[in-house]
Amino acid sequence: MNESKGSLIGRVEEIFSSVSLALMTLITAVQVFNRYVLQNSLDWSEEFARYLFIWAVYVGCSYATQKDRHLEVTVLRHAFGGKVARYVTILAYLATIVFCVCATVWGAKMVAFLAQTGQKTPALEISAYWVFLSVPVGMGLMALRTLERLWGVLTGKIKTGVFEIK
Amino acid sequence: MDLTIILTFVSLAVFLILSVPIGVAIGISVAVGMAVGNTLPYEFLIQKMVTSLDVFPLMAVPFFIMAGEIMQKGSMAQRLLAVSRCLVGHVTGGMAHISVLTSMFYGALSGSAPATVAAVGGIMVPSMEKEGYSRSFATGVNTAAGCLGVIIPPSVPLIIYGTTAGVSVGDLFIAGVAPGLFVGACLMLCSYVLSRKYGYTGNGKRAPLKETLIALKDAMPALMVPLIVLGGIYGGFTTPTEAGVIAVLYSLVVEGLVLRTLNLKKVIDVFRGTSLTTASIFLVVATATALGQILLFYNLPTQLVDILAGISDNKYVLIPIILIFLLVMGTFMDALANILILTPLLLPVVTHLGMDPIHFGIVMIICSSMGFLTPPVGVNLFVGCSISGLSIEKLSVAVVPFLFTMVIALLTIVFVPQLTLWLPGL
Repeated sequence: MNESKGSLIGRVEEIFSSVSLALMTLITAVQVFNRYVLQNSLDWSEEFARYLFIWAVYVGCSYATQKDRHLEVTVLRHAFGGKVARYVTILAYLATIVFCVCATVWGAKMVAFLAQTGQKTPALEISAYWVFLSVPVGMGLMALRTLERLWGVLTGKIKTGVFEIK
Repeated sequence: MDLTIILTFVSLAVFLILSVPIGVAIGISVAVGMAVGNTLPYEFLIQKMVTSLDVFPLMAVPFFIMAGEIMQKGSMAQRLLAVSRCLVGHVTGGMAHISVLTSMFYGALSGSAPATVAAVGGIMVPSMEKEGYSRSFATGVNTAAGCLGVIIPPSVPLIIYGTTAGVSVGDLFIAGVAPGLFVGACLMLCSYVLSRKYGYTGNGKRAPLKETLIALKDAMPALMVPLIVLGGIYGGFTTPTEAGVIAVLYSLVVEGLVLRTLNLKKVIDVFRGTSLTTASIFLVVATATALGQILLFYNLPTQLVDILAGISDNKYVLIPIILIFLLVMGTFMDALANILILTPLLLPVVTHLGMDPIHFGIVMIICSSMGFLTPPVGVNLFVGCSISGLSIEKLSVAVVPFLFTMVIALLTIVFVPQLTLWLPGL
């Protein structure tokens, strides 16, 4: 359902989030190797891996919206099905969009504030706002993807209340 | 309780029921609480969303998910199944025991209950039906046995509990071993009794030693994983996160280079699947941590201690009350959200009663795994239904005897703390 093949725009989050996770794994593996085999701990690796993880999560949230993989309590949708499921889904998507937009705005404010103070991360000594930027970027993308799904439900392209398990 | 907290919980309930993604629903309730309470700036939520994930031990979660995805694509489940068949296939209700034992083995590879149901049940339910077991019994056993996926370490909920409670994840993993084996044994006993009743027999004679040894040899690559993970942690060589990354590399090498069950396309699928699961879990973790902080800010834990202390000071009264509360919450709420929100509330109460935080962690994980077996939010049930085609209603009835067994196992684990604490205490 809603399989977006080929187009790069349709796969931005998927690629970004998967590559971040792969890189996080690689860096942590290098860290373990350095610590146990070379007996020489790296000082930047753990922090870098953590930041990749945070970015992978928030951009991945948008990817999870695209694939309808967020954890949800679907009792109401399954109990009634049909029209009720459709209205419930539309309401849920609207609420999600409102939250994501708010989180994007608050996140952007936070980033602006951190840019002003010039706070730096302890090990990598990069500006702290690079880490916090993950929230407005990820939540902003998630708002757009939810809008995309809302459109799909309104136009009938996405069926609601269908019991599906991946 | 003041208005802020009440409105926070009411909005949480409303948005959860509307099937808003759980992480978002919790986020909205935090925002509502901040708006009503008017004491914290909204940036607090953003700050918590970042800092709650900026924790190295939490990164064990994506690593164990990744290792699980790799092994699911490979042939580990079949190999473990062959070992179980040799060991317990001949007992009355043999196929049911094979399911439980394989789930125990698989639980030592995977940190997720639904993944265990999918991997083991996906193979076992059809073959049990072929051997004459009823579909509801076959699915019931496998759905219940999936809980061993989170009780036996590595375990995603245990990692989340450890970082929330400020307890060593390594100690929790070691502590989870004996209770996990105990719950598994109880489930086997329950299937034995039921098989007696329904007249399911074993598959003939015990397998010859030679066949068992060959099966063990074939399953060696899979059986090495718990040895590496738990051995590394127990021996103090690795942290759980490092053990997780080692498990990823090990399973990549074994499945990719030795057994050749992986190709590049499958590896890319692994990263894709991991990023979907990781994101869906950690959105909940991020906002639920923020909610926990808000409740802490409004002193809810102290209020709760006072209320419970007013009822009684006897732990044989209070602990059952807490258990019932946990089990009820587990039926309605997602396990991770429960752990993140309830741990800061209940931990002061149980430590006041003299319960060890590690012991409580194991108890909490068993309670939440039982929530996987009960509607409306039972993830194991959903997987069980999708692999067998059974309706939720039928499957919910089929798991009842196993749920009852788990309650007894849970009570034993609660009131015999030695079962949990002797191994990490060594």
